[in-house]
Formats: sequence, structure tokens, C-alpha cells
Amino acid sequence: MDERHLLERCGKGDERAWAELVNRYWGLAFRIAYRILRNKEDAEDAAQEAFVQVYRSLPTFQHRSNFRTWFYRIVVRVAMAHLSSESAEPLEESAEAEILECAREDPEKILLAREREQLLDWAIQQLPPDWRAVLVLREIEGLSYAEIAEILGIPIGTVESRLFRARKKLRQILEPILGDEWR
Amino acid sequence: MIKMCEWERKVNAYWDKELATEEFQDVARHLQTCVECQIALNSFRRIRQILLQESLPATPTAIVATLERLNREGAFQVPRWRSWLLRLDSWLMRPKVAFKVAMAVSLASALILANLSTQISQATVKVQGSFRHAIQTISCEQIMQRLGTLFEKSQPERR
Repeated sequence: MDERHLLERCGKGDERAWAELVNRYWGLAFRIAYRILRNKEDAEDAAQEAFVQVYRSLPTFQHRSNFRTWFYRIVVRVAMAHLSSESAEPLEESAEAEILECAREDPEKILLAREREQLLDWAIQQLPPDWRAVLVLREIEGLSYAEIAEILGIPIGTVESRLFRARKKLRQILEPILGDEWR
Repeated sequence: MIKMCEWERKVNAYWDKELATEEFQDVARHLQTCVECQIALNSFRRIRQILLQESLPATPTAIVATLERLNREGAFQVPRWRSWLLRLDSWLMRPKVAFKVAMAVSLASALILANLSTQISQATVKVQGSFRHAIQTISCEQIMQRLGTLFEKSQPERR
């Protein structure tokens, strides 16, 4: 079933069409929400909320525009609202210190996937929500500056600037720990 | 403390392939000589790798939960007749079913038309027969008599 037809059927309350839409886009919604929120439960909530927003806004959706871009916008907006309403919980200081200590004592240990992911989690949580959103859309989704600008409703120059700052900050955090890996 | 070259911001856009051709070539030339920018470019590459390698937690019941939530929000509330129509519509959208239904409808139409034309031709034959019978039963004499009566009736009026 093509997307336009699928959306029309969703608009008419067809349960099977909704099941297909959710099935098609759940992965994308969860992936973006999780990368921004860094928490499974919050990401699930945000992805669910995004589909509810799709249902509520579907009558106003212009079929001329791209559904995927529209959907990205909804998911990012919901995730960022989630983040600002609950103010992302950063890792406790003790946990942060533990990771850094562990990395200094035994640098090879940090290469373990789990620890690396913990470190990445912590590093990303240090970024403001706006930077996270741009980083996720560029690095994970592979979108162009123009597409990101359209989704977030900001100028292309701002996209470029936020992305640069986010990378710089991540580099500042990760480089002393991962050391030679960067070179 | 990370050393930063003033070109680093351009290296960022270069890595994303978001520079115009001329600028892109300028940065590529600069990268051949600037160690700081080479390190920066490598760090951008590593950041992407690390982000892409990150695994996502499994969400086995998430789709069902989302559909339940949509149901609670009223996304599936449609009148019963409309839901039947939708179901029929979705059924007819399947190519095989649509083809079979189209064939059945054309066959049924052909049969109805054939039946109708037989009935029409039978009716025509019947009407023609009745006319023929009526013409045969009325004799010429009766016609003449009738004409005579009509003529006599019209005479006094002339006088």
C-alpha cells in the first residue's frame, strides 16, 4: 500500500492502516527518541506520543509534503519537549567519576562495548537538547543540513553551527579518555 | 586542551560534504598540511562510528502498546457501516480479488443483458402476432359497413 493511500485510510480510522503505519515507522520514532532522550522508557513514551500527535495532526497534513520529514519533525519536537519537561537526568556524579576513573586506570577496559556505551551516554547527556537533535539527525539519520533545517525550523547556518559545537564538545569529553583512538 | 585551527569549522562542513566545490577543494588542500585539522577530521569520523555502533534496547511490546494508546485516543472510532465499507474496500484493493470480482461482475452483466434481450424479442414477436391476428379478424365488409354508418351520420348535419 503506498504511503498516501495508507495515510488516507488512517485518517478514516482504519485500524489495519494504523497498524501498518505504526509498524513501518515505530523503529524510526524510537531510534530518534532514544538517541535524544538516552532512556528506554522515556523513548517509548515519546514514540507513542509522536504517533498520537500524528493522529491529531493528520487532518492538517498536506499530502504534497514529505511524510517522513513531517514525522521527523513531530518525533524530534516530542522528544525535546520530553527532555525539557523532565530535565534530562544526568548520570550521578559518582557514576561519572567511576567511568572516568575506570578509563584512566585501565584504558583498554573502556574499549568494552558496554563501558563505551555508558561513556557515550554520559557524553551525549552533556549536550543541550538542541545540539543533540541536530547531531542525531545528521550522524544517525544521515540527513543534509537543508533537511535538518526544515525539520527543526531553523536556518542552515544554525544547523552547521550546532553540529560543530556538538562535535567539539563530544571531542573534548571523549578525547582525553579514548586517547589515541582519535588519531 | 584541544588545539584548534581556524579552518576547523570548515572541516566540519567538509566532513558533511556541505561545502561548495571550490571551498571543498580549498579545505582538502589545507588538510594535506594541517595536522590539527587532520585530527579534528578523524575525531568527527570516530564520533560518527561510535554513534552508529551504539546498540538500541529491544522494545518487543511497544507497537501493541502504541496501537492500544491510539485506540484509547479514538483513532479507530468509525461508524459500523463505514468500517464495513473500509473492510470491503481494502479487500477489493487486492489485485487477485479485484480481478475475480471484475470478471464476475462482467459475466453477470452479460447474462442479465442476454436475458433481457431474449425477453424483449419475445415480447416483440408477441405484439406483432396480436396485430396480425387483429388485422385478419376484421373483415373488409365490416370495415365498409362501419364507413357507411359514419357517412350517413354525417349527412343531416350538412343539410
